Amino acid sequence: MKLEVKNLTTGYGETKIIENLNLTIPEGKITALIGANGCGKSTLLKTICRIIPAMDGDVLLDGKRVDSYDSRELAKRMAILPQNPSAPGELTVRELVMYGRAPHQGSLFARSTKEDREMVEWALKETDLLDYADRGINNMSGGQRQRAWIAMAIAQNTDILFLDEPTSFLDVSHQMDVLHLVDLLNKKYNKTIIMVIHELNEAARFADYLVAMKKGRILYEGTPYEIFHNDMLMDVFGIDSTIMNDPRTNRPFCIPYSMKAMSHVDRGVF
Amino acid sequence: MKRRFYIYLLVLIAFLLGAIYGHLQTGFSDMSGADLLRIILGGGSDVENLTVFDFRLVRTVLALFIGIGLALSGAIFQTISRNELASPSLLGVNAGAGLGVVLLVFFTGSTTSLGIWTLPFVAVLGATVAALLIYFLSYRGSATISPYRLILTGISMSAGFHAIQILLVTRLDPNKFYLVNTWTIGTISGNSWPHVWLLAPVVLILGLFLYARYMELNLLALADETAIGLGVNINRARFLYLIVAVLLAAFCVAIGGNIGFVGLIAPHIARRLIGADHRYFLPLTALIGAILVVGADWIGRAIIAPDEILLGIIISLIGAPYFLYILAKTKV
Repeated sequence: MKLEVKNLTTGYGETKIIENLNLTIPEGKITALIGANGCGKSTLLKTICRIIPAMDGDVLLDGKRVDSYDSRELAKRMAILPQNPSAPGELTVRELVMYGRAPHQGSLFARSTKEDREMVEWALKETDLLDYADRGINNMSGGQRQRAWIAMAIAQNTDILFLDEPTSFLDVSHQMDVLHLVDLLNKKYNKTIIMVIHELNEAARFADYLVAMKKGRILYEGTPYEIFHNDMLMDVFGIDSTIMNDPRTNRPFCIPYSMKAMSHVDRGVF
Repeated sequence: MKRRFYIYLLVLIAFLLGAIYGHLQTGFSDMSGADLLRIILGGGSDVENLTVFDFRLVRTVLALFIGIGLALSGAIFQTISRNELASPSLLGVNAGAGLGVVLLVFFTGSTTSLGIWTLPFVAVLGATVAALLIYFLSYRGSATISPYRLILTGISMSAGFHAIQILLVTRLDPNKFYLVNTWTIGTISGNSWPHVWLLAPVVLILGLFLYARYMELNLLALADETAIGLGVNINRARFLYLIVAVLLAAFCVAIGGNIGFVGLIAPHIARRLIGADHRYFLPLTALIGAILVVGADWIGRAIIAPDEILLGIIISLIGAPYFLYILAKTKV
């Protein structure tokens, strides 16, 4: 499987957000798209996974345009966790996760096979949801609900997984749960993962490859060791920062400062 | 889940059989339960057979299929618009059919010269044109159609169709006015077996088709992005099911007249009972719709017998308070 973006122009309606962008997604790795609000990272993600159509250029999966695939065939190869997923309130977690098997079932009188049920159980187990499987999806905490949606996406059993801000609106412990799950899916099951993420230190810690965007263009791309430095953060986010090395993970992390007003706190004056 | 579904299924079938029994028993001539059973099993005289099979059974069977068709249509409208307040009438089907009927009556010289297919055909045509117009007006070149825009366009267009309809109705002579008025309120009296042969296949085939595609309907009820990710070609699917829902409702309305609320209430009750999985939700919706229409038609015939209250009035008497109840319960 090879996922490439060639000369891509995309946006919403008449508005172009991204023009002439090129990118090759590293296979079997976790790629994080980072950048300030409105930089086009979500737009890029949505265009790659055919939620919004490209205006010009190509998104190629194994050399073939994604929009030329049969939608169900494509759904067997790539799964999406959208930013704010919603479901009818009466749906239980197990029912939702079973929806992830839909692309693998017949389109008429869909019946779940033994394999479908095993995949659902596996997805529930990996996301730690076995005890909550028969709960209504809307009667759960934000963290549990997010895990349920991830369970649905991994029950789809695809090589590629797209996550649009999987940790936003979660408290820090649930953020860690979700990111460790993402890491597990990549390391143990060799899935290619592409995610949009706001938290810079989480991106630097969990991603193998960073793509830093500004105003619809890629300014920097590379491993966290290569591009996670003060100049990059300055160019992309307009922040000053101190970069250090996390002794436990050996990954870079940053402490950001505002460029505008050097406050007492930032100068260390009390 | 499955067990609960089968329990509801059996209970609702029992209700439906009760309603059908009551419906068959009610009419101009008195008939005891034992008589009815004897006639149905083939032991009736010619007059009794005529009464039960050609006058009453036609009406019962029509009520049954109209109920199923309208309820399923409402369920699909609610699914594709992701709004529990959506219904065929809200999306212009009834108004379009009504305008078709009024135009037909307005521009033809005599009402008796019409073939029995002409009025249903024109009503289906009107409903389909109206629904397509609403669909394409709510399409704004974006990747997917906004369910909200669909509903808002439906409401405003329906109001427009109604206005034209009323304008024309006021210029009709009394005979024609009576015909239009009866249709507008909704009644299934005066129909015959050919009407059943027209309606039943449409409802059965489209109903079966929808049931077969229950999984795709489940996915359509999720957000667009999720549905796309799960392999739904969203605009094609939404258009396909819109057409199916329009045809279902249009045929029912064409034969039964302007009956509202069934498509709103039946799916709503079914969803309360069994949840949103279309595999269970659609069969219960169909049954509840059938019970509603057969039951309402029975009540309409029974309470002021030998006169009768038009079906549409009874349905509205049940439907309007329920609609207000839904509105009060819906958190927006």
